[in-house]
Amino acid sequence: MRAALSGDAGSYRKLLAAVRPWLLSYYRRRLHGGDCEDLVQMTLLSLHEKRHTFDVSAPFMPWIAAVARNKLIDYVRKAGRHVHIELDEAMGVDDGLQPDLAARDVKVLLGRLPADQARIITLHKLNELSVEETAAATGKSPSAVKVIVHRGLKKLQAMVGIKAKVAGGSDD
Amino acid sequence: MTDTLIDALTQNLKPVKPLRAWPLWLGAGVGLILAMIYVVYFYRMRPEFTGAPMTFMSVGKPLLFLVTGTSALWAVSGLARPEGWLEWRHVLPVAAMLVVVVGAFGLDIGRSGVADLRADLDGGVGLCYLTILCGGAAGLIAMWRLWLRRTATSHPVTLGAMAGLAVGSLMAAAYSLHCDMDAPVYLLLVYGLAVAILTAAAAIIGSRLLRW
Repeated sequence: MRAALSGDAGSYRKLLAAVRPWLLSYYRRRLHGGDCEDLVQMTLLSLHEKRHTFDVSAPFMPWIAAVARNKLIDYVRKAGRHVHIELDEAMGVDDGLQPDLAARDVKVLLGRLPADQARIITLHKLNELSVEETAAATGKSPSAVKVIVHRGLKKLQAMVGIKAKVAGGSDD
Repeated sequence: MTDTLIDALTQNLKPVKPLRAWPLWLGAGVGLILAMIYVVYFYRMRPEFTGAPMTFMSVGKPLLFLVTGTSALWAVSGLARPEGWLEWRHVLPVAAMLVVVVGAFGLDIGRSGVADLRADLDGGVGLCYLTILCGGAAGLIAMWRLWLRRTATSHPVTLGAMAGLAVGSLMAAAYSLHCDMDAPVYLLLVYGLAVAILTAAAAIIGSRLLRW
């Protein structure tokens, strides 16, 4: 996205192509009977128009998820009561999340945690070491590792807007 | 069809300027200085700033509105992107200021009674409303032209309201360099209502102009 913002058409094309299956899956999971391909196109247009609002130091997925959500709300507003949608905010591999986009976001988010905490989460959650192995590798006790991981994951959730909002949904 | 769209979007792609918060803060700072110059030049400063003994409210009142305006601006910058939301730390200073003023109002009523409130409201009400509403509206238009229209919020009403609260509070801070009416009832019913009117108007405008 950073390259796309500076006018690199090749990178931008790659990004749009990578986002497309995720968007399609996102809408299919939430919208039963609507024209998902139309929504994907409208979202890509919005992404293009609003791309300057992406913060290059922030994770990408919460940004595109918010854009997609707003387009979904627009669609439902226009379609009225004849559309059935799932109010499911979770996103992940089920939505066809591209591994490279996800990996970049995880790196950005972990970079915002204290180095120790980021290392412990990386070892335990990404490198899949057990609590005891993580404790041995970092010199912490197993219970301290559990607490650090739990608190770190809560911080990460808050960073992407889960459970820490004053204004929860869209205004209108 | 989507492939054609992607082709069209990537053809002749031009660099774009990312949305940054500093022009908002710079614009607000310049706007505040201009408002202060206007107030001092046309209305003159209150006596404490021209040699009379200083009182707590001569500094406390501008500071109260400055804190409110700054924290509302902080909320505006947090709400400007699609994934942004209103955080407690953004609204806490505004809530704290409101509690202070309402608390002082309650104490004032307890001490002097309701009968004295009318006397506390006597002086400069029209000018205060006019200055805060007109200056705030001008600030809001400038903020829209220079920054707000580039935002893409998921909360247009809240963003509009916070923008109105910010410009209204900053204008009130500038006007309080002149105004020596410091009674809590005056702060609530004159300053507070003027800022509230701007906040409500900006929320309504925001719901239309800041929509996707």
